[in-house]
Order: sequence, then structure tokens, then C-alpha cells
Amino acid sequence: MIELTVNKIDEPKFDPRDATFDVIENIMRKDVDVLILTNDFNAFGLDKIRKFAKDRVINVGITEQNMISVAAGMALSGKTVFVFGIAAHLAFRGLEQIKLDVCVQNLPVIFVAVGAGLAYGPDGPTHQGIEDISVLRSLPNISIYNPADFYSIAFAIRNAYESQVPSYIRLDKEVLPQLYNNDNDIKHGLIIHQQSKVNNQGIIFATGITVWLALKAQELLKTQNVDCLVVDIYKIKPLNTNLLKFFLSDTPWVIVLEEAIDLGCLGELIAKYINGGTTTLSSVNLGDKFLLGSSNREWVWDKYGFNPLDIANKVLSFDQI
Amino acid sequence: MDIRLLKEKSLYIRRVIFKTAIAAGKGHIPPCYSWTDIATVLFYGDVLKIDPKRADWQDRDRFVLSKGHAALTLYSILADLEYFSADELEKFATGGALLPGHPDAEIPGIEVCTGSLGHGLGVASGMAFTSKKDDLSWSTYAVLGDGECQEGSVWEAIMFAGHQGLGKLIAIVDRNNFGATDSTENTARLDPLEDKFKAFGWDVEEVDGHNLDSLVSILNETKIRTHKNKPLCIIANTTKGKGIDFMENSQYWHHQMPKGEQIDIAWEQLGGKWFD
Repeated sequence: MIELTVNKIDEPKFDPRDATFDVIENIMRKDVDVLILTNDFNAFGLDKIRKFAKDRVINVGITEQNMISVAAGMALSGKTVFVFGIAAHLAFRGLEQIKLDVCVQNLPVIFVAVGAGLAYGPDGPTHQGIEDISVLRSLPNISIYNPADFYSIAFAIRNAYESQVPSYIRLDKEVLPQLYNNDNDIKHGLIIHQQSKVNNQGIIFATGITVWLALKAQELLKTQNVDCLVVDIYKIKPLNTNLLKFFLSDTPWVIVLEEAIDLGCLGELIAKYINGGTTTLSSVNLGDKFLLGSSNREWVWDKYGFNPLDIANKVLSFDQI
Repeated sequence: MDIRLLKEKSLYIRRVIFKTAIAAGKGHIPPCYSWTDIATVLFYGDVLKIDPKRADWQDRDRFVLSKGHAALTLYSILADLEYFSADELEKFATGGALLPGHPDAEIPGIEVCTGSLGHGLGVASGMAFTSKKDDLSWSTYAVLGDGECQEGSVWEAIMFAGHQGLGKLIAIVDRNNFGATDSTENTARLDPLEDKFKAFGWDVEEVDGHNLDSLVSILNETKIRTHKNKPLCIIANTTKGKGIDFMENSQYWHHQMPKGEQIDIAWEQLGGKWFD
């Protein structure tokens, strides 16, 4: 058992929404057939785009179902449409529109969904984004991104635009620590935090803001002479299963960190690719219940074992260590 | 096409619908029949600017059948116009067939996958927005069921289209007064429908949805709406099951299939021995 204090976040920080709209702005300056729809949700970057493309940023009011149908109609007539709103509302109020109008017809509608996981934790179950990936993963044709870094967000926006398929990009709400210094390694859907994998090494898989927690746990474990990989899964669907299988091939233990409900979560997905019965798999997530009351991140992380110290101690308790 | 030929065509389409549904043991005959005359005028009355030889022609008018359960009317017309082989009708709703019970966008001539109600007008509004924004020549037509107008998403779309002033969007409401099992006025009252559309910023006109002269007149006027800044709703007063008397205005007949003697009676009312 280790008892260390985790340092406060000290890396350079960035705003996910600014990072997103910087890339969208660049795209829209080159491609006049790109539009943005929003359900009366705003961002500084959106106002910047309005200054040069006012007629291509349409606030449709608080009408999520229609917004998504309209986006599909625009896409059917030659447009690429970014749809901007809160994740919990886009994914659930407009779920049938996402399914039938966008995904069945495989249209270039790109959802930019703010409020990944517990970004809106204190706002209650109406605003938390903890079930959206489980639900949307079930839809054919859709790509799902969950980036938590300036460069992986930029990759997600560009990749979604270039692929011209239905895409769902989740963003955090808060200013975040920057994870990467460049985009050199951002191309395979997964980022491995270590130069190379050595045999019989454990892995912490994480997505979104939990990557930062995983990296802190990795640091703590190093002080106990336990080396492990951290894998940032910023593209959840389609998942790079070849790379995933390669890393899982001789892994003694796996931890999966995700601010999400248990059913349909990343842990469930990764379990599919674990061969044999010797690998210990532990999913750290929010179980099978709603979070009522004010559930801010620090409180939930403590309660559900997300803190780096808890993760490190969990690893140290594995038989394989 | 003159009125006499349109009448013949309308009867022919009804017969094809009936024949296809009976062969498949499936189909929504009464909801198809309430908009068959509207469809006939749209597709054969020089209203829609389309080219069956170029289904993806960029300048075509867009047509969205929002009440997708009434697809057999559209399928019968598209087959007649040779968007696809009439043989496809014989395979309707069978395993691996091109034509399912509700239309999807892989079918030549179908713009949008519909069948879950309340989607079509929003999608059509997105199309009409593009046409207006880019100053394109084509118009967008959507046919809605009146029962469908009980969906909240329809009113979101009506608000959007009215707010955006989509003058080249024409919504035709098939006002047969029935949902699937009851009158719309007994479940979630729609009237006064005309006033509601007007209050949302639309032009509204009303027409007898089975009077071909009136339909030709009102639908042809939609072609010169390029200067308008309000979308147009045409409330077409129709009869569910129009053409087969025991199906007309009956809450029993929605997707039920006629059996035995009912089939013979219906055949007779659709023109006797035309198929024999």
C-alpha cells in the first residue's frame, strides 16, 4: 500500500471548446459547404466563426430533435454539418433522429457534444454524460471520439470532417491539462504512453479526462518499481482492435478507467479482446445506477476509486504484482 | 397529363397498391389511398421537377414522404415511372427485397428513410434551407400524415421553417382525420390546424384531397413560389381508405388486410376485372 499525495495538475492548460472551434474555423474558411447548428448553446469560438460566416452558424433554438433532422436534410443536399450542444441532450433527446436521419443514411453530420462524463457532474443526471457512449456505440456507421487533449481534439475534428460519416465527438467542459506536446502519435485511435511495451506489462486503459488520472497512477506505480502502460483511447468507435489485441496479448493485468456506467462501457469492450483466463481485468466506472445529488468529479472519483492513489493501490493488490 | 388521364392513373395506382399488398399479405392500404390522388398529381401532373432517368439529378425537386407507412403509393408510382423494375413490387416486403414496408434511401427515387413519424418535415426543412441559402432552383415537398402532426418534433420543424422563411418548402398534410386506431380529434386534438400553421408563420391553403382539378390547380401554383418568404402548408382533406367503401373513414382499417369476400368486393370497386 502506498500513501502519496498526488501533485495538483501543473501541465499547460487549454480549453477544449477553443481547440475545437479553432479547427472548425480553419475548415470553414476553406469549405463553404460546412455549416454549424446549435441548440442555443454557445462558445467563444463559435462567436469568432460568426464574424466571418454568420450565415453558416444557425442557432435553431432549443429544438434538438429538429436540429438533427435539419442537419440530415442539409447533409443530404451537399453540406457537412457540425451540430453543437450538450452531450446528454444531443444523445438522448435526439437519439432516434441520430439513428434514422443521420446514421441509417450515413451522412456527414458531426456532433460536437460538450459535457463528457462528469463534466456536468454537479448538475445532476439531466446533464451528466455517462450513458451516451454506451447507447451510441450500438448504432452502425457512427464514429465516436472521446479526446481530452488539444491535439487529439484537433485530430478528431479533422478526421470526422475528412471521413464524411456520422461522428460523435465528446468534449470536456473545463480547462484541462495538456497531455501531449505535438500530434506526431495521434493517428491510430490509441496513444501509448511509453516508448515500447515490454513483456508481461500491465496496462491502464483510459479515455477522456481519466487519461490524466491514469498517468498520475503510472507515476505512483513507478515509485514502487511497477512499470505499466497507459493507453489513451481517444477514438472509441471504430476501435483499433489490431493494436488493442497486440497490447493485450501477454498482459497480466488490465485496468479500465471511464466516467461511464458499466453496461456497454469501455471495460466491457476491452474484455472482448482479452485472450485466455490469466489476465486480471478491473473496470473502474460508475456501475449501474444514476448519480443523484451533486456529484462533482472529486467526490465521485473518491467514492468510485478513480483517484490515482486508489488505482495504484488496486494494482499493487493484484496477485500478478 | 389531363384530368381524364390523371383519373385513370390514380385508379391504376390504387390497383397496383392493392395487388402488391394482397400478394405480400402486408401494407397500409387505407393510409395509401388517402394520399394517392395527391401523389398522382404531384408525379404525373407536371408538379415535381424530376427525371426518372437521373434519380440523383442535382436540380430535381426533393420529395419526402414523411408518413412512410404509406410507402406503397410511392413505390407503385416510382415503379411506373421506371425508377426501378416493376418486378420489385412483386417482391415487396419479402426477404432481401429492395422494397421494405417503410421506405429507405437506397431505393432509387426515395430521398429519405422514413417510417418513424415526425422526422420528414425536419429533414425536408434542412433541404429547403440549403436551397434557399445557396439560391438553388429546386423546391422541397413533404407529405405528412395528420396523425403524425401529433409528434412534437413536427412542431419544432414548423417553427424552424416559419422562422427561416423557407418559401420553397411545401408541406402537404394528408388530413384524413385518423391516426392508427382512432380519430385524431379523440386522442390529441389537431384542430384548428390551419390556424396553428398560420400562427407559426406559414401560408396555409386547404383543398379537397381527392378532387383532381383542385389538386392540379393548387399544386401547380406551388411552382411559382420562388418569391415567397413563408413556407406553404396545404391541408388536403382526404378520406382514409378512399376507393374501397368498407375501408373508408373506419378506425378499424389501418394496416389490416382484407380477406376472402372482402378482396372480391374491393377488386370490383377498383375497376372490376382489370387485372384478369
